[in-house]
Amino acid sequence: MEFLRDGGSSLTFGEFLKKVSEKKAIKSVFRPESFADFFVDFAAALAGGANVVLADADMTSAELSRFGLKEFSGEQRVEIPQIKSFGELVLLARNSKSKISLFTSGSEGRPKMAAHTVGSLSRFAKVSERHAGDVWAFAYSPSHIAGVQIFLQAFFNSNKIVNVFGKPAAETLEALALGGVNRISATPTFYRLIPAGSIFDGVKSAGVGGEKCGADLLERLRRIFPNAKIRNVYASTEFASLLSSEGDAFEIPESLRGLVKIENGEVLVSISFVGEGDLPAERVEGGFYKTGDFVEFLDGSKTKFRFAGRASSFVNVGGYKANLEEVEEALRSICGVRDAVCYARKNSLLGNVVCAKISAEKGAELSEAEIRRSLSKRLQNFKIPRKFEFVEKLESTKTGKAKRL
Amino acid sequence: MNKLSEIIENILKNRGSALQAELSDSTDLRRDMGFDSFDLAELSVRLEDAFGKDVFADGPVSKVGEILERLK
Repeated sequence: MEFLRDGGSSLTFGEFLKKVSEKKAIKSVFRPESFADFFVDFAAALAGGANVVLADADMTSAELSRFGLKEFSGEQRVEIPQIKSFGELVLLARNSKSKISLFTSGSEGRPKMAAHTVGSLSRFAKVSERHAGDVWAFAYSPSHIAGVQIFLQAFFNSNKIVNVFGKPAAETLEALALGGVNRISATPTFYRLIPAGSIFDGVKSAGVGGEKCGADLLERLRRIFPNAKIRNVYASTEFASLLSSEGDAFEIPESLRGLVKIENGEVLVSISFVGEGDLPAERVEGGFYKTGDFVEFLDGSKTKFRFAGRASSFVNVGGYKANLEEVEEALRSICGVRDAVCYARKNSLLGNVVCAKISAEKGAELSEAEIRRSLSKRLQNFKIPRKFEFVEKLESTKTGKAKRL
Repeated sequence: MNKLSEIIENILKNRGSALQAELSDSTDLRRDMGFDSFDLAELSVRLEDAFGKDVFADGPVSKVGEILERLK
């Protein structure tokens, strides 16, 4: 039975187990050059209790050395005990003492390293008979936190994984329609590439994370996956998954009170959750890590909140604070707009102006004048973009998030 | 002047207005065309994209003639 499928190639559970069992040495720092090999090495590292660093496919030796790490050719011996079955491999991995280091996406400046254990990476993993028949569409970068978490969820349950990250849209749609996929987790940007009107009724669970997920996207997901439970996950490389919601409103559960809190609208997380790594001193205060994620409480609620955006999504326009994510959401709510990304552009007169890049739904005709008219009904003048660019497709970062210039 | 005129016309159109008269060097965008700071900022963005120059780099101006000078 197939375990990993990547385009035209695949590995069965048996083949995967054999490859892992035969490993005598693995790299200390490895990159996903081949989807299957990456996870074979990862599983081998866990089974052998080896510490590893997961790097991006395009990370250079120079970037790596900034973290005091050697080049990619460095290998370490790994002692894999005799494993007689896939289930035994999973057990070894689950109990592994390996330290797994990952890099943040660096979407806001330089990437940072964060170290985790199997425990912190599988904090939200649900392992049970109920999940025996899950088949996953893998839509994240394999070397980043979301991808690793999804891999562990599937791996621990011996579920098949179909790689759709970075694949042409047609291949993704085929995997969802015919690949027997019934679970998926991806970024909002990834989901927006699925044409409106598509329906995949075989999917029973759709997770979204990595970027703020607004009500408009949740609506879109409910239409595309009518039989799915939608899970909106709040996570980061620094502290893995933390909060989950079925809508766009979150609440700090009892179990996390005192460990996760909101101060001045910002989410603060106890450093006990944060993987060892280079935490910038200015982000740590009184035992808490300032995430830079800002929230707005729901009307009249002291406990329910929505994410408002990253600190970096607020820009000063003529003395007023514009929230780029808010403008993006307003744009996406316009009929015919598939996706939008806003960015700030320096301006001598106002300090900054908001600019927008918009991709249209297939067949939709958009005009700047109409878009402005729609926006002015919803947003104050200073938030309205002063430049509009219509593009075929929005650029994504290497972790599949919308690239804001 | 033509390109500038075109750009100003576009800004007005996006606001739901239209260019009522021909622009002259002495036309004041704020006083005569009702441009506010946001419209002027938009003008500077469009001019920068079209001509590669930031017309307000040395301070704000609102007369058409002054803008043309800065574009030279």
